[in-house]
Amino acid sequence: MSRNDLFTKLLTVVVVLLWTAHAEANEPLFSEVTSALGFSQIETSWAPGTYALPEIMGSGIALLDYDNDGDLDVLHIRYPPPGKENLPAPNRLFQQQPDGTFVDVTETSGIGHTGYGQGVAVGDVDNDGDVDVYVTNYGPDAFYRNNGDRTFTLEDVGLSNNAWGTSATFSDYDRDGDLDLYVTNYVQFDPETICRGKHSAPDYCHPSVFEPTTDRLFRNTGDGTFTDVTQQAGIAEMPGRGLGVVCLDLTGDGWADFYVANDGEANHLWVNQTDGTFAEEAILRGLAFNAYGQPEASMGIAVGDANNDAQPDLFLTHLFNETNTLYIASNDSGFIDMTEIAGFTGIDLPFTGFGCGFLDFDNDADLDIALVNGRVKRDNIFEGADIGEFWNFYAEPNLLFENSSQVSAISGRGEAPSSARVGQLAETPKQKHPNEGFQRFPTPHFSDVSAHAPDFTERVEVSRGMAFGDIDKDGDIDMVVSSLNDRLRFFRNEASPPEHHYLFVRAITKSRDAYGAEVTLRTESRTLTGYVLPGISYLSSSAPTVHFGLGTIDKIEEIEVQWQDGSREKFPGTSPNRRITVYQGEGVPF
Amino acid sequence: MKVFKFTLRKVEVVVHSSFLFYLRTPFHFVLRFYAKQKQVKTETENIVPLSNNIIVDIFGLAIQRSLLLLLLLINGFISAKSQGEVNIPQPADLDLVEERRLLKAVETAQKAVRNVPDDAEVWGQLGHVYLIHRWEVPAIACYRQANTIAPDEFRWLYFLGRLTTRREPEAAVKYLNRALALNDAYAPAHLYLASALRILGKLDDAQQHLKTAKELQPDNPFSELWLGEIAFAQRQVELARTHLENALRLNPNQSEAHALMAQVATRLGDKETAKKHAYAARQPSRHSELSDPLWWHVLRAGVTAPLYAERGRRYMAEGNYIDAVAEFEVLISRTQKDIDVWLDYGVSLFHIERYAQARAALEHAQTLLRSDEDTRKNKKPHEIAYLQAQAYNYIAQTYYETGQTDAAILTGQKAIQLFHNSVGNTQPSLTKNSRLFLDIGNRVLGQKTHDATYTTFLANVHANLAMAYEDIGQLEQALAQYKKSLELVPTKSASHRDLAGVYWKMRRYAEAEPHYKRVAADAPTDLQAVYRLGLISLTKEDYETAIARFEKVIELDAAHVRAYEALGIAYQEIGDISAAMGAFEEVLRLEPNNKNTSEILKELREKQ
Repeated sequence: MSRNDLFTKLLTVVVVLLWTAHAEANEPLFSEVTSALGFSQIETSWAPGTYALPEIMGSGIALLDYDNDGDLDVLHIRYPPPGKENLPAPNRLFQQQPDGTFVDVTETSGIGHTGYGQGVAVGDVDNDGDVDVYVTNYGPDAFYRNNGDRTFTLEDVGLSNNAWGTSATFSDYDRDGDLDLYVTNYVQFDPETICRGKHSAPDYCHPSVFEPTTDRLFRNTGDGTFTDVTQQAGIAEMPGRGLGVVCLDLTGDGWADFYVANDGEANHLWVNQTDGTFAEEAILRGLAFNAYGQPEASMGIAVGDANNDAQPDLFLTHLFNETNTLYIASNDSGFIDMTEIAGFTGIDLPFTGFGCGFLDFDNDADLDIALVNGRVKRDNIFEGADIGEFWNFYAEPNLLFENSSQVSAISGRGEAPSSARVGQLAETPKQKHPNEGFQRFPTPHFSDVSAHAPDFTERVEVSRGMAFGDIDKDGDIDMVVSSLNDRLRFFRNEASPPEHHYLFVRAITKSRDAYGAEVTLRTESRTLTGYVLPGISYLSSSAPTVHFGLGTIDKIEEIEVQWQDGSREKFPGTSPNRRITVYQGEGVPF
Repeated sequence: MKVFKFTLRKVEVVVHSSFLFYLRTPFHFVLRFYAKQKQVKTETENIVPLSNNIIVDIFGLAIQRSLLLLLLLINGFISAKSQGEVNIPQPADLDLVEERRLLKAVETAQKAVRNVPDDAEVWGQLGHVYLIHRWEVPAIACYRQANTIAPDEFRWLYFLGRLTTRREPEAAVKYLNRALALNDAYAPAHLYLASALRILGKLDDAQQHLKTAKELQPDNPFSELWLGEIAFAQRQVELARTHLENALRLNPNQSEAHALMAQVATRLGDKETAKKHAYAARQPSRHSELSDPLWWHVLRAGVTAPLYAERGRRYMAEGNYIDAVAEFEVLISRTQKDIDVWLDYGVSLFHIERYAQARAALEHAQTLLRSDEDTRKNKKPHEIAYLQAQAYNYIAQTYYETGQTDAAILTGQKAIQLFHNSVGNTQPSLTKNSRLFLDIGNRVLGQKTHDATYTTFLANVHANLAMAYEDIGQLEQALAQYKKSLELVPTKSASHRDLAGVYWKMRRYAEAEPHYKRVAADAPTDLQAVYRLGLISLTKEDYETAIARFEKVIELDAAHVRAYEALGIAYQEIGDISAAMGAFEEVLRLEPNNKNTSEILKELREKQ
């Protein structure tokens, strides 16, 4: 070994040591606060699995303000432990108290449905100013009307779905002023089918073993009931194995479309024909397959303007050995899979992703990504897995990605404000990605910052549901995660440095949150776009308020809203670090 | 404990070998020499030498054995230590494996590595065993070791590159560049390198390697597909279309290319074409596997049932039915319930003319399809009917080949009936939109109501049935079946030929003619078709055409006596006696005893 070599190695060791010490000195991006919030969960192992597919699919969470007291409450959708299907596992509602802790109010609220819970959709279907709840089940679904007095009533309003319901979302697709409902259904599961996995060991079945099902579309009649319009709308024409769904305008015509994540087959994009019918155009618009023209096992969906071009982009979570896929909207109402160019090269391949979301966790004015993982096929045990002998084979850590792109340099909007803290932390240094050949597309670039959120990413579990919202009302987005062992985990955002500003915008139409509305902030240097879209992720429902990280921007010049009925209004600008509400009809139409 | 065990084993080996002798000898010699010196000395001192000798012997033996034991312990320790250095990567979930064949394969490959840890081949083989059984991480470690031992071996670099393309694209680029420096003519290496470069955003370099792969393997549709994908991502829509059209020419069933073509056509505003390709993109991709000869090395290491079946099917695709049978035979047992295995086994047996066994295998498949609960549960009714039709078709052919024509006809009819059942069963499940897609697909792609595979299959069944009818002389039935076959696949040259043959037998030459023309157009060297067309022309007194056709036959087969004979007649008819005589002389040259021609020739000479 030459002297130079020795010197280089010594230098490397010193740098690594210093770097490690530096990294340790930094605060984590998220801290788990489950216990501090009053959730005392039983630390016992979940019962070993019985290889029945529903038990591995998990269940969702809703972050909702059911009592209209201005803070977020939590609805946990549940199902019985494996092999104990007769043991009731009622859904649980937790009310946030003035001190930020939560109290179980399931009994008094009357929302504890005991079906085999899967997903949840939240929305004010009767425009009476409080949110109602739809719960999907492996079995008949359930609708709860909010009585406005902190109680719910289980009602039959024509929302009949006996198939295996998964994700669901409310949206006013027909622009008649009330919320309709889209429910994804998974497969026609046969409990007697036995499957084997790798090397013939018993395992959970691949969904292709079972027949696909038809999703359901229910139109709100306006009199408190719904009509099943699945057939008339054309949705029945193409069954699928649906797990995730979002509803917003993805074609740029101002009408709400439905995008469905299907497991192991082409995703569906139901394009609103504006006459109550839909045409499936996922292949034509580049949203059915990945860049290689291959179908993937799609689970959760995140929606957000990842590249600051005022168009919604999509991020889908997938199976082990598939990428989680980032579809960037192009200017011709199509989408392009930019997963690899955006930096997801190999990082997430070993994982099976479910719940996910775009969130600007560091309030630096660009959207980051968080996702939770957990296998559906038995494989090698990850170090740190400790959720029981059976489930350890399915447990995986979660992932957190920071948007580290030089988007503005590409799109010509000026340099994006950088995150002081996250920028320092980055173990994977911010890369100036080549973007060779993609100059015409503002392509975001993401860096894996999982190592800096150990509470969130180092716990090895089988996580499924995920919801986002500013639970502690401190100006940044927190996360709640549901795992297979009937567990909820809360992660408080610690990432945002004090110099980074934020703005929360609540858009209201007819006394309810204006689902599907597009909110645009105009500032001197930037234009930021967000969506009123609680129905994202996997089986879950997030807070409906639109969050904008502003970086060091200290003034919003103007706020524009495109409502779901197609109308557009401008609202006066404001200063940052506030929560504002805009009402349809009170702005200046344009 | 490891050292101890190893030492014990060593001791056993040493004790039972001549090695002990060689070890003993030098010690014994030294001790004896020492004793002798002592003896000389003691003799002078008058001390009894015998007891001294015994003591020396005992003492010597003790020292000798102690030293031997010490040596063995050191040896054992060193060996165990060196064995411990053979750090064999282990699949973490090996404990979960229940298949004995797989455990044995892993054990054997690991043992080979332990025995010859410096051999790259054994490391590579262990890598193959891991890789084909989906243990990619330990496989990479094995290939890395093989590459360390044999850094200039293309295979290890190639497999390392291939395996790391998606997970570690930067590493993959390094491995594959090194591999290509050793052999730049291996197209798959260029393709994987292009893939890694594409992931890294180095699109120009990726395109270059795709072009090289295209030059090296022009029939591989992946180069064109990926060039199309890159062009589309760069918004070069027209260029993307060109590449994708090329890809689809090479493999019209490549769903991936259809998916992108749908987007390309949408961007170009061609909605009808976009819908056509969107329809095709929903069908499973067929024949789109990368042609990679080195993959066979890996595939051969597979010992699980699906891998035997995969090898069998690959051999079938290559037309190598002997090896296919050998692969399937490993899987065949009373407990084997995979219907596809039984069918493929039966078909392979049929192709190597083991008809009785083929029939037995196919009938067993039928039994499973009829009565096995698991098989029936996992298949839809129309799938079962289709598989039954396939089995009956081959059973019919085994009957036909063994001269049991009546049975062949009966079984062939069953196949057709079941086929129609299978198609009929699929129709009610079609929703309005599915039908719309089918209609669009049918209209634009020119397909019949059902999938092209099914159509081809049914055409074959009808043709086989026709052949059987023809054999037993039921020519009208044969005609009907051949016609059905051609209705389904109008381009099937063999059916045109067979149909024309039946017309010929029935002396319905005018009806035979268009079919022979089709055959001759498809295969201009088909002697029978050209010759018979010549004869038809002769009967129609179209002598010029007849002459041209017979001359074509003679050009193809200079010993075709009948063509010379017919040519002579044609020339005779147009009054070219000299040319006619020339043709008849050729007949006599080839058939000196042909009395008829001799007489004609005699008459012609007399006329002259």
